[in-house]
Amino acid sequence: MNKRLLINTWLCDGCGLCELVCAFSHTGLWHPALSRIKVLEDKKNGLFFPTTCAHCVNPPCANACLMNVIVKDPETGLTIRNESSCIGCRACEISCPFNVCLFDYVNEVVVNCDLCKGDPLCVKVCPTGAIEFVSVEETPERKRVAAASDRLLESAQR
Amino acid sequence: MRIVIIGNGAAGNQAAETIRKHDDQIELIMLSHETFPEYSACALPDCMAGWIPRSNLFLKNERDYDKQRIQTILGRQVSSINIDNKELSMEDESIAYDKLILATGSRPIIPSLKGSALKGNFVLKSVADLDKILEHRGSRVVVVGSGNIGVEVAEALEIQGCQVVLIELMERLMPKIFSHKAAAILRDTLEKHQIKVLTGEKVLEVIGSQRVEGIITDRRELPCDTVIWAVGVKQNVELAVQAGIDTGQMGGIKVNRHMQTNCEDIYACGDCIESFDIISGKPALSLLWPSAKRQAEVAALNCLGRESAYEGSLNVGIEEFYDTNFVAIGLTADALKEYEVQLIEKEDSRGYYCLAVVDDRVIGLELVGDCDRLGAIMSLIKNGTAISEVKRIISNPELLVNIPWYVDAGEILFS
Repeated sequence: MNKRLLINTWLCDGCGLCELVCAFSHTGLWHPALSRIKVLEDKKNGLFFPTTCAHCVNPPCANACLMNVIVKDPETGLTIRNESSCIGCRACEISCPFNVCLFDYVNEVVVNCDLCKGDPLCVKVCPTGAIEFVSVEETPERKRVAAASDRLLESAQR
Repeated sequence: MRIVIIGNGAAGNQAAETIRKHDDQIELIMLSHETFPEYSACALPDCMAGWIPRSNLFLKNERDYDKQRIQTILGRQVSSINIDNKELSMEDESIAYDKLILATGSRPIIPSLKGSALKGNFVLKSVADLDKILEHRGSRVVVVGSGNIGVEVAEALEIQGCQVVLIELMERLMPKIFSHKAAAILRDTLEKHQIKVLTGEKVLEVIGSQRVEGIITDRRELPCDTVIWAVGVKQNVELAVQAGIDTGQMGGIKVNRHMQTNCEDIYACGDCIESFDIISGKPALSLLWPSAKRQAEVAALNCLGRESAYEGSLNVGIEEFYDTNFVAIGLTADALKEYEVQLIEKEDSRGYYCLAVVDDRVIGLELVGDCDRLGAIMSLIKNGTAISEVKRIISNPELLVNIPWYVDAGEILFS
């Protein structure tokens, strides 16, 4: 069964643990700049939004790649890279609308979330349950429910 | 059904792969005058600089074509297309097609000046060109033209230990890509690394008896043993024109949004066509790898009867020169002279950047420095999203929660 990360942004308190373990497990360095999951911060409202590769069906990063190293895995549907052929030109990075292709300054290649080969560490360490690992069938449904409850809450408050 | 593709570059191969992805029955034939399997032309300067081995240029090998059941006929020229019989003629045989995709590409221009045919004059467009330059082993090089290729080649050869002079006809480097400030920073960067930069200067003649010994410009004479011409490309449209296929005002094959030419069952994509700019809607020659791949995808899908339309070409240039990133997305203010363009220039810890804004929409971005997290801005340019809309979303957490990456865009737009 194919699974994806589901992010419940309202639960994120911005602790940054996900970024640290992601960076460490992929590069051996505890530096959030090397993380494939990014916690964006809305400083004005004190809100945090973890974002990571959406594994798009038709990924703009794959179109941009000058070396054709980005492909869709036919089995898992993940957007995967042959990092050894990457020349680090960063064309994919600037063409990702979500800003989640990241330049790995240690290996000088661009990377994206690889779901830790099916066992994502960020999910394990997240103390608030903001990141879950659920089946692809479940993700859209859960997102719809979340969006609907937001709307309901909004109209009740009005 | 048999689909024939002329061209083995980014567009030709993308077209073949797209067709195979959707249909494993169709007979696919790919023809090319080049003998190499698909390679990345964009990475040629990287190979020249010694950053990647030559073998890494290749994106496919012969077996990959077999695996995808693409029949290749390489190293052969197509001499004509017979539209009425739906047939291609080559030297000694002819090949029938049901649908034809032209991905004939472009070729670099060498101006016909005195001496420009002497030994020691080169261009860089193909692996064969690269091999010739490396074999020549020049040490005093003049690079003429400062587009992407020109500047990349200048850097690569300087790194290889050559003395390099870069000559540009216009008043600044990369004039079609960057405006004055970014071009000035680029010039400083190159000059710091001992590349001599001459702008506003015209090459008049190449001198030498047997081989290149120097060049004469309108201002001086320069001794050199190698001249690399990077003054632009010309669309390979001769085959199409001879068959009666229309070309556009800029010299590329004319296609509609479905990549169809005026002749039935003939499609075209890649460098050889004239498409349109995604922002201005004006006719444009887009010579970029991603544009070629997208056009090829559209052509292939329409060939298969699956409707698909091209969105338009977006100019994207991303270059790293001596560890500094230079990025240009969209149009420069020069390209939209008839509009009132507002320029927002900033310099901060990220570096220098300049946004060109027309009517509440970002139409172009130039940046020298940190190119992290630019994607959100690029998608605003591509989609024509209003700046006021970005402001509305980032000021409302309930909206922002669904598009949080606007935080990144906001940082560049409003900080």
